[in-house]
Amino acid sequence: MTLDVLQEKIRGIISQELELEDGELTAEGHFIDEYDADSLSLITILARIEKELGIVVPQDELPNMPNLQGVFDVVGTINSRESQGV
Amino acid sequence: MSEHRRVVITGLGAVSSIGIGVENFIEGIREGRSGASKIASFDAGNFPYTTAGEVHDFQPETILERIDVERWGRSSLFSAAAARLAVQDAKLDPELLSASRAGSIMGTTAGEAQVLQAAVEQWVTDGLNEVDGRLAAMTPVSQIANSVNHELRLTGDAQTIPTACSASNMALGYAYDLVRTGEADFMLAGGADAVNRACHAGFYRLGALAEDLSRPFDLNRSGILTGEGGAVLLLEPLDHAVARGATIYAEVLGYGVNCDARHMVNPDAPSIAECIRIAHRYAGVKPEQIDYICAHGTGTPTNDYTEVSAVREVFGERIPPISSIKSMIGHTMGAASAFGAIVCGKALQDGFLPPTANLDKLDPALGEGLDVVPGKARTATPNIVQNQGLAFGGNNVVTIFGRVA
Amino acid sequence: MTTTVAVRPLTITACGVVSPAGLGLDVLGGALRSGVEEHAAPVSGFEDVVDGYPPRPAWAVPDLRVAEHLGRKGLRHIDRFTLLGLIACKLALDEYGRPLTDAERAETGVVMATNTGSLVSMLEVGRDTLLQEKPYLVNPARFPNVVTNACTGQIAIRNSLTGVNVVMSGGQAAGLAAVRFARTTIGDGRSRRLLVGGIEELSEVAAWGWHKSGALRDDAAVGEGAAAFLVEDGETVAAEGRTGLAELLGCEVGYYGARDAEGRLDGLRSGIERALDRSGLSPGEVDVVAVGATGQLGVEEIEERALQEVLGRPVPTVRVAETLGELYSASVPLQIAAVLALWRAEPADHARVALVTSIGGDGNAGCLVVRECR
Repeated sequence: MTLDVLQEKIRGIISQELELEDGELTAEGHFIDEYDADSLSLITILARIEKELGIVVPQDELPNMPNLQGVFDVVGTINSRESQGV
Repeated sequence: MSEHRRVVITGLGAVSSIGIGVENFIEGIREGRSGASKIASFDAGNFPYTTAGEVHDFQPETILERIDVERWGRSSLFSAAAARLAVQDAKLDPELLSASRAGSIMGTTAGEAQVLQAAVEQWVTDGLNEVDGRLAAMTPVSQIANSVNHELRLTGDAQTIPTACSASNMALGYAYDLVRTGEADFMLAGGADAVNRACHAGFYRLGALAEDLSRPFDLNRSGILTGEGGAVLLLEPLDHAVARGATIYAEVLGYGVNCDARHMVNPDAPSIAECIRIAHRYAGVKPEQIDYICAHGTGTPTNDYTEVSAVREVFGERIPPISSIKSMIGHTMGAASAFGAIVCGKALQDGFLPPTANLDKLDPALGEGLDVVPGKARTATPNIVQNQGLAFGGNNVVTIFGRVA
Repeated sequence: MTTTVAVRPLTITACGVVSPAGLGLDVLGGALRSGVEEHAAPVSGFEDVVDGYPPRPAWAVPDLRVAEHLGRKGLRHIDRFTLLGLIACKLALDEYGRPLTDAERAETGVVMATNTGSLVSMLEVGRDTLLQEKPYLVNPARFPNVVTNACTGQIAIRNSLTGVNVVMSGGQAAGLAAVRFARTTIGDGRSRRLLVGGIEELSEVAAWGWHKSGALRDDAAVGEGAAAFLVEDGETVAAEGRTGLAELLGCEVGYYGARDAEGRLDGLRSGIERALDRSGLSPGEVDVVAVGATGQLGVEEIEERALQEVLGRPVPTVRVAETLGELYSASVPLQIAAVLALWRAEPADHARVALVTSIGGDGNAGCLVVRECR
């Protein structure tokens, strides 16, 4: 999966779980403050990333993922670590 | 309406992971004994965490006199057995009880989850039309109270209140109302739940499960330990208890109930504080009269912080000693508040404060002046105590008990 | 020690009904008099499940029009069971005539009857623990749905009702337990008004459960639905110069599951007599009976006999299950709704009295007395 496709899928999952319209989710928009997310919806997003994209993101990474960009960064790091076989 | 009756607790029945029968259970509590062990009731092999608070030595047929153990699920057997033990403890004639206006109100979270799981396994393997038809009648949560009435031949209300983890406090409150207002002469009240695969999976998924031990109030607490068991209390009018020379553990002074109406799983401190105030108002007590708080104390980071914040909001500078018996028996879900009530009753009668086990370092974020009674029970003479239950759905119930001099 | 004292009436000031007949009392009244034209086929509760329904009628609530009643937000992970309850409560609150103020919402609670919660949600988690790659890969957003009180929690959240919030389970008679609980709670001033009712959700699993249990007649349908009544203290309503749809009077329930058929008959009969006695009414004053055990083998005739023995004469009888299917936890609430619907459809010149009876295979049995408001 290319990075673009992966990021588009992540954006789709988050938009769905936070019940956002197309184009509403921005890279820097704060999940909790701007999109009414809570711990349960954030855990659900991680669960879907694990189930649908096969990328396991530990829950203690949540503080590093306050917005879409944060998710991209954390997932990107995990993904590159795994593809290097570390 | 006529004057309402005073209601007292005269019988205690416990089927727990640290002991069966109230004396064994309380001995374990006073020692700070742990009921945690490797899960045996389902194949936990593919779970990262494999510990729970199961009751391994429960042999229902040795306690139950009337019930056919093949026709009831594990949770119902817990509640019926705990009820039978409570009546024995009360030294109340079973024939008199059965001939009276008497019944049971029982709390539960998952009801007969093990029965449901058995049905799911048959479904997945063989299809819905091959599932054992007898499981249908064993599945409803109403069986938890039905089993108590069935075992004791009671013909009054048999109501199960499945309001999750505060359910048995609600059951106690409602049973107290029924005796107090004269709708019933005796009520068995409590709760039961059984460790099950779905619950273990769900709490793990929410990041709310502890790996090996429940550590309420500890800096390194990481979540709950799923537990199981049955806890039942016998309620009767004070006058009747005195006239028959019964042992009186405690008087039910009142209770408070409300709903956060904010979030399904995240507790809300102001709402919990309000529930405590409601309980105090109905019990006719003031915060400074409370000598001990049996906390909901699940051992998740969020619960303990929120619960202590709520208590501070009501009690201000002086917080009574507050401990969590979930550190020993895990989170017994719908039975949790009833186990708390049993501990409160014995604490009032025997004169001790129940401990919080597994405390290594008190979490400084919980603030100053917090006495969680670490380690083992402490000798004391509490007069009025408070028992807290919080639940999914935002259902808060707080019960208040007093010593009868 | 116990005395049989008269009960303090509760007044139903609004009601919301969701049934296989559609939404509201009027369509229910029409269906009870002339049948449901074409029952809606049930939907599958589960993804990727091929078992289908058993070979017996299964009647679903037609198009719920969820967005119209509840909006579009925040419903993504709400199950059908809770949707049925949410819509029934929404209809009841709408019928109240004006929105409740914030202060009133703080004094309003929820008491719903169910013996299962959402079986679909529970079994979905159960299946996931067996079928997913790892047993813990259950959907976290849907996990809170497995608690039996998820529906009352959601009703409270979506309507900001912070009063007493409870689920009652007592088998077929669970709705009677809910009414008894409501009386105590309102009598004690714990909440000034309560949404009281019950919910039942149709699914393959529920239908197969009934089918395999052997408890229903072969031709008996399985149904679903929910009813919610906004209930207040009767004397308070009267003192404020308001009126309602009906009063809930005596309500008695007991457990006779440890007895044989004769013993269960005695139990139900004494419950009906006590409920009438505590309502200050005699058997001769009963205008209509709504029975709950229709189609249930072994208990249907006990219910008919108990009523015959108490009333001693033929009384018009409403058999809700014939029109809506077996409603289990929601049967008592929909029996009450059926009485209200028929009274609304056919006005009379006096305040009519109804008996709502219930007896289940588990042995829970009892009776509620309902009197029309004039």
